[in-house]
Amino acid sequence: MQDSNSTFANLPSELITEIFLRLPVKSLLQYKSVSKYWFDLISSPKFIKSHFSLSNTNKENTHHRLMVRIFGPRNNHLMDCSFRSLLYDFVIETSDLNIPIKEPYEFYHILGSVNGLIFLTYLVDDIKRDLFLWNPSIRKYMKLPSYETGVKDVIHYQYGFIYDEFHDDYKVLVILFNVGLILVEVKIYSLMSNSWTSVDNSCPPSGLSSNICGKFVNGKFHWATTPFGFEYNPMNRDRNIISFDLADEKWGKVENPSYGEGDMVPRLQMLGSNLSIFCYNKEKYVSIWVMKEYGVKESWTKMFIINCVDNPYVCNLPYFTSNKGEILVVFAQRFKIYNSKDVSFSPKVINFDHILENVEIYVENVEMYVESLVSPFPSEEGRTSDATKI
Amino acid sequence: MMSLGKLITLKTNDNEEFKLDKTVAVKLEIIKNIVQDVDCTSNVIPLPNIDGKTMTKVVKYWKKHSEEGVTEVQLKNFDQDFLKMSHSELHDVHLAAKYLDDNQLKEVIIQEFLDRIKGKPIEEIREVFGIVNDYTPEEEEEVRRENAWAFE
Repeated sequence: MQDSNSTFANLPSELITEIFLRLPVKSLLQYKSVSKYWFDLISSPKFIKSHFSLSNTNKENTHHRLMVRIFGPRNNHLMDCSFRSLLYDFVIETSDLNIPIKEPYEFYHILGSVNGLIFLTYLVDDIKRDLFLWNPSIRKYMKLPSYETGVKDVIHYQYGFIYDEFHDDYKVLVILFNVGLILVEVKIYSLMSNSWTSVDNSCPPSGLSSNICGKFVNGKFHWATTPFGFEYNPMNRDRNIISFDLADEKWGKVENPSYGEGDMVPRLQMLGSNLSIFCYNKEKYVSIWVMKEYGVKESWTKMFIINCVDNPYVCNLPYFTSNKGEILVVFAQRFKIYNSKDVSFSPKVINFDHILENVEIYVENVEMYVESLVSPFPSEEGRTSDATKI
Repeated sequence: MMSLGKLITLKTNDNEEFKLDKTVAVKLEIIKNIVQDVDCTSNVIPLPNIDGKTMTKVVKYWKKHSEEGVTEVQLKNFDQDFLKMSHSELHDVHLAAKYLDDNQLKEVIIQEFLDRIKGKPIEEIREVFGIVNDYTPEEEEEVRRENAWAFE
């Protein structure tokens, strides 16, 4: 018999759940083999949901990771590093991430991440794309079924990927544009039903987007656009932020910030849960704007300016914010950490030679994700028996 | 309304009384609500779910954490010492913190439980939690195989 002082035997399941909610995914996967009861507890949709909610908002960003796609002459891979470690540690924890989807594809794009699921597109040929959902924390992925489309000669795709909290479902949005950009089709995939639906008679307000994957705020996807047509002019003042409402499937617009002289094509991003604009100025600086109150033009605030005379590839800097308000900007060969509360603060610089041996490389693509137990498979069982499991 | 004395008395379910400075006590939502809402004739607040032994620990934690001029390092050392208790005592403090809606104390206790199981192999985890393995060897093998890489 165990002495009750040395075992947790008398702990109620409620407290065990509280403890489990704070454990990293890897430990939870191990603990599935402790007993059937623990297996059920860790696999239950209710637990999985609470686990990612807590991880998403964790003040220390303990379970956030950056997936960094690195491009170089010999060195082409995905690096994975702890976001918390990048922000606060002297020695940064990194590892190589093995992307399980390989044949027969050569190129892929990481388009977004929600609750630990990564949304990827693979290029089959000039026109066709295969879409995948991948959870690197549990090493599971799924290829989405293909959809029917009346649009031939697709020349441009825009996407969206979100968690629909109301329906407890993950959704992928695909917008197809044909040559001449006259015909547009909108498709929505639901993971729960594992099927595609078409949005009827839906045409976005004119414009091609500089962000391929829509940013989801307030129930709507958003893209920053410049007008259709082939007289593409980066200085064109006619820039829009368009939105697509997932509930009523209607298109709309969001007010722009007040751009300054020389501001070029804006790119839409997220900063925390707010829409953000990344805008390159021909005077060679970048301004980062945030819409602090959704839909309110006056709430657009210029957060900071990055001088980029000595930074190549500057048009494409991804940036991410911690739950404490630090902002990490990814340059081609270094990270810089800004403090959103003190703009005059000079950023902490982390050069790649601190974390990688080979410096003949640059970052091509970065995505932040949170470690989670969310399955990329559609599941019929489980979701309905939610309440009985814990 | 309660009279504006400086001290508040908390009375546990085994009739132990704890006199607390009001400025310490009202930091807690639940006590603040009682102080504001309940029309008490005395300054005594009953705590029907907490015993004296547990409340002694909670009050000790509150007092230290509301001490004026206390440094981070001092608090860290205090917490380390404070947490030297059995699992069941920790559980009691957790329940009390939950009842009193003290999120900080709740988190500290959970973190302590996490530290106690961190890095332990499955067999030891079963022992610590007093869990009977209800898998057949084949079933366990299969679950382990499914997540084999997590054990690397």
